[in-house]
Amino acid sequence: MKPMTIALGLFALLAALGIACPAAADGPDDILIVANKSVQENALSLDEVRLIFLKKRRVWASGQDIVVLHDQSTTALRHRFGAEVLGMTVGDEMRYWRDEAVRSSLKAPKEIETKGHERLRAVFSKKGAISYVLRRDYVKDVVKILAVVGAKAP
Amino acid sequence: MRTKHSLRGVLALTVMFMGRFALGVEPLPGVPAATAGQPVAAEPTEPSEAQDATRSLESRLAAVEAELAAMKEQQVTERPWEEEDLVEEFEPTLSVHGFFDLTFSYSDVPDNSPLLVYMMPYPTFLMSSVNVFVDAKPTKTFSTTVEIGFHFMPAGLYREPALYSSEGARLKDAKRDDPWIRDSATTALSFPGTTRIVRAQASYQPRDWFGITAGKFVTPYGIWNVEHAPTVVLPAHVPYLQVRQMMPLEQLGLQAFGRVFFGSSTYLDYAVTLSNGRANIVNTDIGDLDKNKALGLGLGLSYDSAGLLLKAGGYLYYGKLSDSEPRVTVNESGGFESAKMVQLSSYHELIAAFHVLTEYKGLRFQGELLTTRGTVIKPQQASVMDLALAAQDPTPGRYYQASWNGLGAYLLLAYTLPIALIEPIRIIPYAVYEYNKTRDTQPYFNVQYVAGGLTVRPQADLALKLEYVRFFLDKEIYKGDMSMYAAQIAVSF
Repeated sequence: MKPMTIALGLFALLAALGIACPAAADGPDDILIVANKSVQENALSLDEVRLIFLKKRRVWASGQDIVVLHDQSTTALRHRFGAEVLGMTVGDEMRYWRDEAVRSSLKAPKEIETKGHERLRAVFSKKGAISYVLRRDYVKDVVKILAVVGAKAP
Repeated sequence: MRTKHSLRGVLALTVMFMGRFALGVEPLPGVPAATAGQPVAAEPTEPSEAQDATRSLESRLAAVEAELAAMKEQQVTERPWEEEDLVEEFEPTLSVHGFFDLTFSYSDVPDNSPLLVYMMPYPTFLMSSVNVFVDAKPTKTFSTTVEIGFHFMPAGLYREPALYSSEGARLKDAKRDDPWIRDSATTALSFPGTTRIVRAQASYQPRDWFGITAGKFVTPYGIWNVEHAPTVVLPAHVPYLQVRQMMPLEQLGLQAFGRVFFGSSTYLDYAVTLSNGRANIVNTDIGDLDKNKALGLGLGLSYDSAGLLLKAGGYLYYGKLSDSEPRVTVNESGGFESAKMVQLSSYHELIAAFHVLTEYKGLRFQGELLTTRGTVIKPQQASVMDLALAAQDPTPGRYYQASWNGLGAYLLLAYTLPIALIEPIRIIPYAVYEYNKTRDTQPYFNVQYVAGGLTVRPQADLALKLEYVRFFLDKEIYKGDMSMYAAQIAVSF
């Protein structure tokens, strides 16, 4: 039985009993901003996440290099992350990195697919790494969560 | 086997059933309604279908909870990867990229205007340069960048016009660079241009807040000087304050730089530069022409969030603008007696540049202001063309470049049209106003114009531009105002 169904049933039960339940507190479609456990920061604002993914900030406070890992550019998650965190479409991002190559000789972050926990494993194994996954794809205790982008109600 | 649809249907029914029960909307069959002040007497009844359903749901809920607990347990105990997998890898990178543009331009130059000496009066295709970058990052903290500009010039460039008297007598021939080469094997002609090292720098940056660059670097001032690719610059032309190099565009020396963060969206950039400075015409990249070194200090504050970008900053430069020549003194028999470097001219140069930029919901406003002050130490002879344009007696050595003040400023307003239907294409109309007084001692070079245009970015590495510029000129000198029309294709690769 899928966790989605279980969650729906529990939510319905709790609502019927009149117990207050905050909307989308742990929704499976939440985007979790995750980092390697070597990263000393424990929380980031979404503006800070944005500056990191645009490489305007490139070093953690400890002096460790920030290793930014993106999802592949064609996925719905990547589009949603761009819209809700970066404030850019994927097309805008491509223009940004092309222009940034002239400004500061910077290259776009590496892209790793979500499938088979590939990107989550990369965050787990690379010191200083940061990326994002959906809560449904999150594996507990292997990486730390620095921020949450809640799924918007339809 | 229960299907998920049947479970969901039952759960939905449960919600409706229990909600009605909790709200007491209407009495359920077999349960008497309560009356005020009267306790409800429980009548013995047969077990109802509703109660059976409730018990069934409760037991199924308990089973679901047990399954969920088991899944969580499984997640905790099954760690998919071992911590020995942890690596700190770095991938050295080397990349080659660059840009160029092709502009089709027509300038409506007034008849008999001195501008005809410098400007092409015919519709023409123009390509200023092809710039190629090589970027290498061999370690996490060390990187190098080399930017080379390949130019067609000076092949075909007129250095001086032909001079004629008012009676039509030819006084002087025109001087044009014609460095053509004929291949002796094939007899083919070629016209070599030049290469220019725009940047050649090595940088060490262990922290966001500190780095050091050595080599030839772009002067960290303004907006368009740093972002100088034609795909990045919105108009078809960079402003005159940059074209006329009121601030040195690049410097050879050292730069300390960094970025300090305040809060989540605000940061301060700084840069401190030490370089050879510059000289009139002569390039100080091959060596400084005075013992003075130029100093620069730049600061820039940014508020950078997803919805709003605000930038403001400035750069202050102080150096000596000098020219020198080596002189050898020989004795009567022609033997070496002494040698020295003699300064031909020297000026203190103090330049201040300021910039602002804001972007909000597709609207972009930016402006730059640049002021210069040149103070004579040892004066330089004015050029023949300067004297002719100033209507002075063109006797060499009689007049010199005096101390000057300069002022350049522009404002740009642009708007990225919010047309989601054409995503990812971006259409950006813009308008520019610029006033430029490079040196108050050369008022004939003052420029004032308004420009309007359209930039279309169909993809990340391409910009298409259409632009109209109206110049407001000194009519006594230039015989009237001038219009310029330009269409440009800018490419980055």
